[in-house]
Amino acid sequence: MAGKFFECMTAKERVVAALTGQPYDRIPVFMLLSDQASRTINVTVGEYQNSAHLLAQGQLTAWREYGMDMINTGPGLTGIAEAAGSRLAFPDDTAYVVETALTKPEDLDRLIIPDPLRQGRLPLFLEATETVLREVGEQVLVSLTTAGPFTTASGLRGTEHLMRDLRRNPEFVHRLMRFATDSTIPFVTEVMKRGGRIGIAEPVASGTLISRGQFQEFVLPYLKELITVIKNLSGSAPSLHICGNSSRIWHDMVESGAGTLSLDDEVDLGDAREAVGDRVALVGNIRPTTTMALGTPEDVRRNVIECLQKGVGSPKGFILGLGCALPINTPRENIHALMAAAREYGRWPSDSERLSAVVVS
Amino acid sequence: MSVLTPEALFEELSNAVVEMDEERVITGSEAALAADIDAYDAIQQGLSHGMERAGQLFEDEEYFIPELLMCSDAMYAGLEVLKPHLKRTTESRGTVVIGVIEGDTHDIGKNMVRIMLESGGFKVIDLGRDVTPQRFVDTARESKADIIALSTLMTTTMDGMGTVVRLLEEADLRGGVKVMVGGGPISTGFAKRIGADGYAVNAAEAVKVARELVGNA
Repeated sequence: MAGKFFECMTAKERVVAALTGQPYDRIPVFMLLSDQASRTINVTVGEYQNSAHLLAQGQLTAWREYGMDMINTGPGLTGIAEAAGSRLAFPDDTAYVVETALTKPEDLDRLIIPDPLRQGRLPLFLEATETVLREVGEQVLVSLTTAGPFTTASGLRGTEHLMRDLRRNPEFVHRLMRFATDSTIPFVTEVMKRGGRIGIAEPVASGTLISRGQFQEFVLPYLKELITVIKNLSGSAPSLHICGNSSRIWHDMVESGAGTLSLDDEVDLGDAREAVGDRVALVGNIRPTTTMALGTPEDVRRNVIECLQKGVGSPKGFILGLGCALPINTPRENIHALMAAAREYGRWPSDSERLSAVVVS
Repeated sequence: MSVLTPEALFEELSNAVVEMDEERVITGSEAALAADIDAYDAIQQGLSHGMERAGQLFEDEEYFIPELLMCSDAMYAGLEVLKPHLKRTTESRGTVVIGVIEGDTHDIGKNMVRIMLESGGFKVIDLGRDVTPQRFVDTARESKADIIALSTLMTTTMDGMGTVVRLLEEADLRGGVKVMVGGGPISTGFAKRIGADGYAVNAAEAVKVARELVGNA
């Protein structure tokens, strides 16, 4: 490909183009860059996650440096559970639950649906969203990664307890899912009032943990409900990310109403495209650990080409993305390499012959 | 129950574990004792046999984490009944020190591996989650362990696994202690790179790897 390449679209325009089958200057890139933003402003994850100012500054700094096509903030996997009463620890790494809101099922009766304007860190995410949108909202979408109801249920009850409850006390799991869903809706409503988007992450519903039958009975109805609320309020469907092996539930994930499926690197993008590419847009699935955190810029380049070969041309659209959140120990040069490879190999229209020639070289 | 042969009782125990039926496991274990069946045999040919089948069903993706947990609850309920009646100290296949590496608190995978190793005849010392590399090494030395089994789900904590291998070498223990690793971001390639002896993709496979490592597969 001769000549210099100049980007001539905003991130927003690029994403819309990729999702509507229109030409774009280069493939859009979703990086799931959340806690990693703390590294761009040299603060700990704990400091970053507890300050609306740092959340906004970290994301803006990362966006200005790398130019990815989606800005990510939000309560993540544990923020809704925290607002409802679970206690988190903030090592200089991803936050985790140290004390669940429920020690026994009966505790559910005394939990109160959290007010997104007052409880936990939810107000911080809303404030950060306002700041980022005010500064760069014309150019780029802001997505708040928010736990799906099953992941919030796990944050309230403890994952292993929840796994046992599925068998021992299914009626309680349904009540807990009701509470988790009801606790998420007010928050996403506030996000959308401010013009933010929602990206649902539901890792605890992974096919690595529970069966398809359990997903259909305990997860899908609540996901559907949440997604319907989001669609009705914002006019667009959220993305849905489920970690690990999701291949058995791809059809159910589509059934949930999600607009895009974000796929773990554990599954094959080509298989997903074959199975559900005609019904939903796909995002994925560069290897976060092997490629981004531990690989070289050359590994990144190869992984990008591999994903483009499998994903570009998927009927409902394809966005180059990571298989899971960007590890916080990812070297900067690998993030730059990802964006450089997207500019080099992800231009419209895709040229599959050229892509395969690159791989063997 | 009293008319059942030992073989039929073992089968009943095994089935009850696979079918996640705690009550039946307890009844079956009591029946085994009443029929003067050796507790060790009831554990090995009944409970552990059932747990091994459950592990296979997990590998075949018929069972998932909730089912495997239910099976293990049933197995442990039977062990409670039978263990006090063990006539001899059972010979274990080896001692394993297990834990989630420092910086990570995801422990379902580790718990699954512990359950499968215990039912597979290993003595397991579980250090829990967020465990420093030094503690793995110290515990392995004190308990004369054969294997250290390390788990993590996070990219940022993987390096701690390499540290364990290095500390073992520095302590001159590497000859006697094998290291096996597993968890979401871990691969065979990573295991080799840090000098680990084994990698298992799931809990059922972990038992096979552990048996190979102690040389009685």
